[in-house]
Amino acid sequence: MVSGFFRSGNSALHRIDPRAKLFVLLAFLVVFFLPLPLPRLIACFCAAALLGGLCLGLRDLLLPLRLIFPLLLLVMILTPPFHRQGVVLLAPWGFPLYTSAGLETALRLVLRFSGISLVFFLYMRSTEPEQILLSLRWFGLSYSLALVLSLALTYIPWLTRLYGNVRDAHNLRLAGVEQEIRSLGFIKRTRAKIPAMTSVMIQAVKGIPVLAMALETRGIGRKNVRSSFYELKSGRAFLTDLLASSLLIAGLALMVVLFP
Amino acid sequence: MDNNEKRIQFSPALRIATLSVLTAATAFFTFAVRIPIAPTRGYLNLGDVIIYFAAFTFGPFTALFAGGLGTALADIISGYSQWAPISLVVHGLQGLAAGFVAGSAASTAVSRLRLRWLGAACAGTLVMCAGYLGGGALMVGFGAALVELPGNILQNLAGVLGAIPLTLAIRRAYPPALEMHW
Repeated sequence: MVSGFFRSGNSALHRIDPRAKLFVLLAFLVVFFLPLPLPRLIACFCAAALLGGLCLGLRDLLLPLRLIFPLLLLVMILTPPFHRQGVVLLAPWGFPLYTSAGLETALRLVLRFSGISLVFFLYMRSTEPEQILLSLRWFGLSYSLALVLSLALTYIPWLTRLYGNVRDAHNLRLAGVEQEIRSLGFIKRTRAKIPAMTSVMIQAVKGIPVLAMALETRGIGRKNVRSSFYELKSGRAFLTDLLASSLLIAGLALMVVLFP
Repeated sequence: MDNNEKRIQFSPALRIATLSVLTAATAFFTFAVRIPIAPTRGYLNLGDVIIYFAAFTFGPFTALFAGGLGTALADIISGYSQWAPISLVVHGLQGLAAGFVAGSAASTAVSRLRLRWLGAACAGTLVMCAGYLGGGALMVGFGAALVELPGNILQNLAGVLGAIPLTLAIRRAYPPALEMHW
């Protein structure tokens, strides 16, 4: 749908079972939040980057980092003033603004946020939305909640088309006024969006009972156990992927513990 | 016809349908509809309008799920999936708090509702800003998280300004919506 979502491919990351990938994602998240020395954090980030670069290519690897680059700059600039211990590096008018401890904390936060963004992106880029939902179901997500997510993903394109049509109809009535609206303050610009939003939401809310009837004809709400048309297989391939993920997590743990 | 026959039966299927549509609406208006803020070159999104609308019309638990799941989906779709767990919790709690304070809109005069909605907006804003400050401090440090605070407050203001006329419009256009309170 947009850049952050799944892109089909045949890399090793695409072929690994989504459940095994979720374990690896969680392991990386834990590692990035641990209070590790800077070299170990850099090593963990490099491990994630290497995995992403080898499987998805450099272009996909740089995409999430490009998206968060402005925020990383903000972190580098705004974090050190809140941590003023250590050797003073910059002291305008005698006030210690940037110190070694502040810079180290800023670097740590940059690596943490970059690493988390990268691993999330790698997971989402290489896993189909249906596979993500099925793996969450396998881990215990309720049928109803998975159905809500699945229906919401189906409804979003419909809402996009509806909003486009309603907005075009409103713009026809307001021909020549759009430029004036763009020059207004944000409150008036927000209020200018409300008519189109109201039309869309009225259509959406009126469709709720129709959707409910469709669900009831399919037996949703009855007490019988639901079955799934699609299921994730738990055979030899899954066990192999689980073993590979466990080895990767073990390697990560060793790197965290043993790396100087 | 007595009142029991007039009321909509809030079956599991109706509950799932309500949550699905509102989750989709929250996700859509979060990632697709943006208002630029000229001084900062940033954007406000209108996802909070739907969260407050869900809280005022459909109740706290609907707003909890629609707000949390919708914003998390929007983060994933727009390429910021690292924020999805935080959005899931923060916006969910925002919807829950606003819904509890707003109470049920059925059989209540609009003049009394406006005061409740104001209280709900304050509760929602407090929860959302505190949540993002805490979650943001964990992810990007306190300094960078503090910079987002004015934007979050503005976003809540836009959310309430949009949600109130939207709620009143839905009350007139589709009164049975008030019976789907959860």
